[in-house]
Amino acid sequence: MIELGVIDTRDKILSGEISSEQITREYIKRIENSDTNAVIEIFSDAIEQAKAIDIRIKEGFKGALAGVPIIIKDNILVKGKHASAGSLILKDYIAEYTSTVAQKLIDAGAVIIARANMDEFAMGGSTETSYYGKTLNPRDKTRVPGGSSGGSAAAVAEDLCCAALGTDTGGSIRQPSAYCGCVGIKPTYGRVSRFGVIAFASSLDQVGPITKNVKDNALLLQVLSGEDSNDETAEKRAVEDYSKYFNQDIRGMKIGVISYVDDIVKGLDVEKNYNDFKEFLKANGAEIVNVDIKNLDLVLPVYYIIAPAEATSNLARFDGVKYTRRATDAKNLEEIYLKSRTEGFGDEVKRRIMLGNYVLSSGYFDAYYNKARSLQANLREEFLKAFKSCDILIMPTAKGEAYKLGEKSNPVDAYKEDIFTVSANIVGVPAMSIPFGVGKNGLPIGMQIIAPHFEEGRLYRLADFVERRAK
Amino acid sequence: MEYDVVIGLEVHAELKTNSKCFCSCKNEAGDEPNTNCCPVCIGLPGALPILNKFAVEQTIRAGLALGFEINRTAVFERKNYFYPDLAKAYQISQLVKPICINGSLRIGNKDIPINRIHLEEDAGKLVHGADGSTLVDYNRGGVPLIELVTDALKEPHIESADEAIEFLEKLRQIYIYAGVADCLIEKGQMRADVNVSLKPKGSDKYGTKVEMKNIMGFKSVYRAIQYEIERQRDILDDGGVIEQETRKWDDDKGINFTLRTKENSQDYRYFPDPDLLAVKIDDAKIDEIKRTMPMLPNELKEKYMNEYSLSEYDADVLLQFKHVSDFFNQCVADYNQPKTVCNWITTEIMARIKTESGAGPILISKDNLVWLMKNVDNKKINRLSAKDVLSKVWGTDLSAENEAKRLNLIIDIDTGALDEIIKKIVEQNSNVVEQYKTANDPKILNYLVGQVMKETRGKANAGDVMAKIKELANS
Amino acid sequence: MISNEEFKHLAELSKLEFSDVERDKFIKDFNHILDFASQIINAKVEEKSFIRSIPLEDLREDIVKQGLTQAEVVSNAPKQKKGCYVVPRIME
Repeated sequence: MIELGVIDTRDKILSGEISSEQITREYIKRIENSDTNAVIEIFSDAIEQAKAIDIRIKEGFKGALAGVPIIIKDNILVKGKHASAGSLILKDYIAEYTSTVAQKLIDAGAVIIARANMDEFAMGGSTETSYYGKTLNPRDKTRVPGGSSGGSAAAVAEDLCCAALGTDTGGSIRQPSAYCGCVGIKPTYGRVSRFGVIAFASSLDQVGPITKNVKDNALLLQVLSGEDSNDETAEKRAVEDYSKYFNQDIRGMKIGVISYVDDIVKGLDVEKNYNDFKEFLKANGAEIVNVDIKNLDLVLPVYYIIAPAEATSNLARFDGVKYTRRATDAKNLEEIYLKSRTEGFGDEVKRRIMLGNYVLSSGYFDAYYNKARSLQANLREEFLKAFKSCDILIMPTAKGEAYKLGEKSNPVDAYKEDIFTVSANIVGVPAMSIPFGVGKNGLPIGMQIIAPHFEEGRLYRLADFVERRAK
Repeated sequence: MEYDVVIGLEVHAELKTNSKCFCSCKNEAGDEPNTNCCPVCIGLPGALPILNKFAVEQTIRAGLALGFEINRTAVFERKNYFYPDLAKAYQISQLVKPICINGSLRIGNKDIPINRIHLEEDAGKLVHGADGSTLVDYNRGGVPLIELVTDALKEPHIESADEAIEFLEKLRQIYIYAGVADCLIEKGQMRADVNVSLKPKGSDKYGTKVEMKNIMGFKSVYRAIQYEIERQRDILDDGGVIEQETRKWDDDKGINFTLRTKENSQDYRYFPDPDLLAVKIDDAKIDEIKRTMPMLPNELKEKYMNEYSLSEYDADVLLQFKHVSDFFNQCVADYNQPKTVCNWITTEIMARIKTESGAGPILISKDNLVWLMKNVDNKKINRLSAKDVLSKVWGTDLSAENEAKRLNLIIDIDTGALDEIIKKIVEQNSNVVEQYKTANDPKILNYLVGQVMKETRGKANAGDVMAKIKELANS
Repeated sequence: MISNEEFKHLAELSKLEFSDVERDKFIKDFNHILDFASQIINAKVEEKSFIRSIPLEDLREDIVKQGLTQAEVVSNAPKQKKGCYVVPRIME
């Protein structure tokens, strides 16, 4: 039962085969016995939530997620519960309000059972920068689960829940999904509300589901999507019923491959899977189209300028005055700022705060920040142009299988791992990672599929096909 | 040496809105600490700003009242710095594309160029306790604020403290009349930063600017400018150099001192706020705001003088306070005798509301005042009686008509009866009448009129009585 | 390459403290990252900026809604008094 996904579990709960309480207890037991450190905290009211849902179900409630145990990333607020974004500075913080995404889960009947580990403030790709310890990849515990939503992906892969929420600023849903063998989507920027989600880089962050299969993913995204009077950037657009994209073929679908991507994939572990993926698509009637994206080689530096710039400002509010930990030995205001922040943030976060301040400071602003914004606007146009000749772009999610714990200790090396994922954030388009084959160690490999803005439906059509047909 | 003084002003005014600039909390800074707050204005993690439409409209209204161009796309930026009154450690403000650009304000015969008006959020309030701690209250945090910046690099300049004050007072009046801000100085709803520079007379090269921030009250602004001009003049006369710096005005001591030098100037690292969308403003909206713009002081003054034939002095008295001119307009709408209305308001009403620092509320209804004015003009009540009635109804909800009746002040005596009384008085005072006839002294006549009024208990029209007595005396 | 002086300035802006040892390691990493980020400086690209926009009419109406209670506002405060956050007295 624990290996079942969202839809199957819900159906069994609604049919009375099992209660939400039973399955919730089952998952909690598994979390307690797990040694991957995917979860920071099991919420003490999880069983209460499940019991309450069971009662409502008896009264006729039929929510899309009725009774389904779900884990949320540690940067998503639920009133009265801890949320720390993987950081010491928010260790004691208890949310005063509930995020829109958590509220939507609750309204749909989900049971939010725990919060998942993550890289501190979502800055990282391995979940090794969390103050609460590393998370191990459940497929191979000597390896990272990816990040920053590593706890979420590991929890799903290890069957600690039916599904999990992650956030994705530069690949933080897709890359851990690839490393753990899950389905993960970064929706179009503006598809899902960010209200109540601890911000990393506001113009790039999106919440999305990490699931065991494609149909679960579509259902969850449908629940999460929509405009929000608490988030100007959540667009007023109808929420689609993605199930209409299921069980179709991909004949005639135009699949774009980017020449720059082809070049850098050469020699990487993922090369074989990538080529297999192309072959698979071709064999099933899709048409492969070569496209060019100018300046794509600069997308990583663009990302590592824009994201820290926003982050440095977003993280300034954690100052030891209002709700974050205050250094106990601070004697005056300046010391409260300096000591609370110096103690409270880890090295990677400090690096990015410093970098953000560098690119925003007078003298460097035009050369770095403004230049990056120009490149971003140009890249956006390049992608829009590319989508005139194809329906979906494909590329690997990561360079290969999950890497070993501690392997990427040099910051720039770690940043370069994000080469395939940051484009979708910089351009704002939806992108999904789906499992496709395994690497040389038998560990999961993810392929990334990217659609134009608000065309998540295309991704689900292709992903559903791949899931059904690919061995 | 002789110098040209160049003064630049940055004026902050809190907008009149129901809710705050970026959240739905009440725009009321004065309540119990931290009771008009929400996740957004206390800067909780994950909270996002949601721009108030009316705050933007109010900013456009302020701009149009001052002849500004309105940017069709307005962008909000973050101004980053740490201070406990700034919950997010950044202030949402506007740098590159403010809502209003290029306006001006006329003082004397100069149109002072204004660079911009932008919309931003106010900071919270710090209360410094005696126990070695400072308390932080965010009720004011996020209150919408417009900042106006004069363009001191364009001529004509504000050249003296007097002109600066005239500018501020005019500006305040326009904001109040346009309905965008109350500008209560004592509540800190209008605050000014001032910069001053001196250059040799006639030189086209500007001197070094010295800035003084957040000066409360126009009198302090005046003193601060006077002081700074003198300070710079002394330095320059001694062959010294003015440092570019920010100085703090100490109103108690009447001096200023260095707060921040140029080397220590803050780097605010402005960048577009990614949580907010750029606002598109279309012509239809601008036209609508123009159409619904309340009459501004200069327009009203013209109307008062040209249409109502009031003197400039009277017009200025009426316009000094918006609630006074509003009341005047309402009365005139009901009783189309502007001069009469003006006389009553500039004398009787002003005498009752004028305070040292301004004007209190008008505690009589328009209906009551109009009733009194009408009935004095119709000779149904004497002017003096009417003033008594005004005093009786002031600050109450009594009706002037009822009160006049209750006090038996309505002139309802019929002509026959009045003639009888006058006759009687003239007869009883025949010697006085004789005196009057020889001396033709108005004092004597007034005495006789007074006797009649006493007899009628004030219910006769004094003018009519006087005429009748004259007639009898001369017959 | 950033100098010690620039590093100090950045640390001030960031409100972070570094020991001398930390600083040296940090500067080394930081310079690596700057090398990497500096790739864009010489890129020839048309100057533009993509900004999402909203018509004025679609902005939030000016209606007051209940926010947090005073107790909720200071519920996570490291130090509080009379419904306010407390910091050591600030000398102006």
